Amino acid sequence: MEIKLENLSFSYGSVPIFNDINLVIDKPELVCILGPNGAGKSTLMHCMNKLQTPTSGTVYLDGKDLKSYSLKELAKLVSFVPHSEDTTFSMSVLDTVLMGRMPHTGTIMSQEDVLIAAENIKLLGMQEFAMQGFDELSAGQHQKVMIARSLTQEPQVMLLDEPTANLDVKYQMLVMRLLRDVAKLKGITVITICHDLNVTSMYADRVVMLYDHHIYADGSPAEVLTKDNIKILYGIDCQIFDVQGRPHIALLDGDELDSHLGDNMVRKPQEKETE
Amino acid sequence: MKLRKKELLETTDEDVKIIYGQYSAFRYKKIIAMVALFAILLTASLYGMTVGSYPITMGEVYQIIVDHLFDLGSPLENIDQRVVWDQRMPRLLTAIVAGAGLAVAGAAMQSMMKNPLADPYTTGISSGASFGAILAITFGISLGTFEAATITFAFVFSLIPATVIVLLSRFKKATAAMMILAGISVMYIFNAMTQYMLIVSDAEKMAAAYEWTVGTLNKASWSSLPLMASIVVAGSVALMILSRYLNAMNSGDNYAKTVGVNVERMRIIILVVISIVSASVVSFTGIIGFVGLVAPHVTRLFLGSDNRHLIPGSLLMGATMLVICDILSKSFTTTALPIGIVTAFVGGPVFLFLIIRQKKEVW
Repeated sequence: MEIKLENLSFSYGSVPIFNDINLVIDKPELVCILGPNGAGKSTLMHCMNKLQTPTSGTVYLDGKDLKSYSLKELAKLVSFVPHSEDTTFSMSVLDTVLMGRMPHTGTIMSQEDVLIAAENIKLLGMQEFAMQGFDELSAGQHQKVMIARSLTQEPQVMLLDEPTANLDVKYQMLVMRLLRDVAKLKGITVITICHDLNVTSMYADRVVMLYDHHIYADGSPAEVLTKDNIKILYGIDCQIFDVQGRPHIALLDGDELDSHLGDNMVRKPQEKETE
Repeated sequence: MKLRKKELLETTDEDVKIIYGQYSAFRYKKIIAMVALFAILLTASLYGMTVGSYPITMGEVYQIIVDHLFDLGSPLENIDQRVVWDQRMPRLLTAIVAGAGLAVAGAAMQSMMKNPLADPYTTGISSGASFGAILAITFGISLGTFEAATITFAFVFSLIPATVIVLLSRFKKATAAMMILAGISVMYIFNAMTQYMLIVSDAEKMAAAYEWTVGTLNKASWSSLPLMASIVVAGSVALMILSRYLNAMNSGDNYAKTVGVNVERMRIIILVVISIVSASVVSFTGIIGFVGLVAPHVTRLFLGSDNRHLIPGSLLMGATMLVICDILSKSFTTTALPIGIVTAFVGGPVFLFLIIRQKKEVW
């Protein structure tokens, strides 16, 4: 399903977040959005599912203005995995995952709904925890449950806000690989916000770099994840190696990372008297 | 879709089958728990009918109930019959309806506000009702009877806080924090006016006004039941239908929107339902505290936080708690202590005990 952003701008009051963004995502593939903190990645994503209204410009989903979709119509097509889940009274993992069926079912969940939820729980390797309380799980397990829930929504487009933030290395890779395969096998367009350059490089089909209020670079990992781009985005030097046909980024420590700890320290440790 | 279901069932692998089986058992257990709760309610109700200051034996009580049930139109011939059918029966049914209504409203309010401290009165319903009732009492307003005026005024004024919030929601997003803060503001305004009226009124009216604010079942009668019961039943059914939206909203406003819930509008709808249910109970019984706060929490300990089970479970739990509290109030005092005092006095320690006992984190 095609998502098209046309001249999209967003500002909080007088603070511009991004200006005049044009982007077309028309293939079922894994698209990673990269960018430094505060670049507007989450805001851009929220403009794609009506959580935020852009200041100007239009978002088209499947050729239709996003504004013409009701929340329920949109929910049948686009799912969302938030950055974190803030429940007060939590339910079992399976009941949590079953919420993904909401846009598709009435008051009563059918046997089919439960089976779809159970399949996705298995897909994320959470079958042991299906009947446990959501609040008894770790942050990483929460993320897996949220991804299972998002798949249970059976969307055409999946939006994920840092789905690997709390996962260990293995599950970061597993989740990203899963998202790539889901895109390919189920024909879902998967758009995710990422921070880890190497995991992105390993699995992304397309990388979109957000920097300085606009899209700074857009293309395959090899095209986008270059020494120069990383230097500009994060101000960090790096070396790039070819690993398994994809760029592997080795970040280098340097003076630009200086925290100025020595200069900023208000109370300096007393210097030891030397003889 | 039919085809897909079949295909799904056939391709289902062992793990998925196991999860499905576990889930069926999990839901079955909850239904069993609710049936057990209903049995407790029934037992307490049957016993409650036999408790009272007027001396009638247990056998006589049931004899009168059974006789009268088979011949509803027959006149009540003696005092025994009148005590059982015209005093104890409406009192019991009022306890059931009031307990159920307050507990359902409390459960929905807690889930909607995502706040374990919320209860049916959080948005200021009780202060509105008190003001309305005391206004009617101190000014001696009569709508046919003084009683009718007090009930009507309490009902109308208890809906004012919700009205204020609905109006405010046109200018400001209906978030949980906005609702709680707006409710508290309205509550303070009402409390100030109530206190002023109590100060200027004479001692006799002041006592009557004060008595009203302490929830009681002493005024229960057949005439007030149909209205209260039909509102509580309709409201409970509505909240059960809306329970899945409450579940989604519990995962945060943003997430709920992305599964198609218009969060702000839903919150307003739920608030209106809760307010009408609580208002109908409060205006007939006065402010019975604690049931609306504690019954949902106790229910969560047994049934979990899924609103699809929590709402009907709280309904049974609230009714049971109030029936039992009424038995206690009738057993230990001859004057039948106002139930509002009993619920808080008994409920507090019981709740503390449950907090200490529970292993699983429900909150």
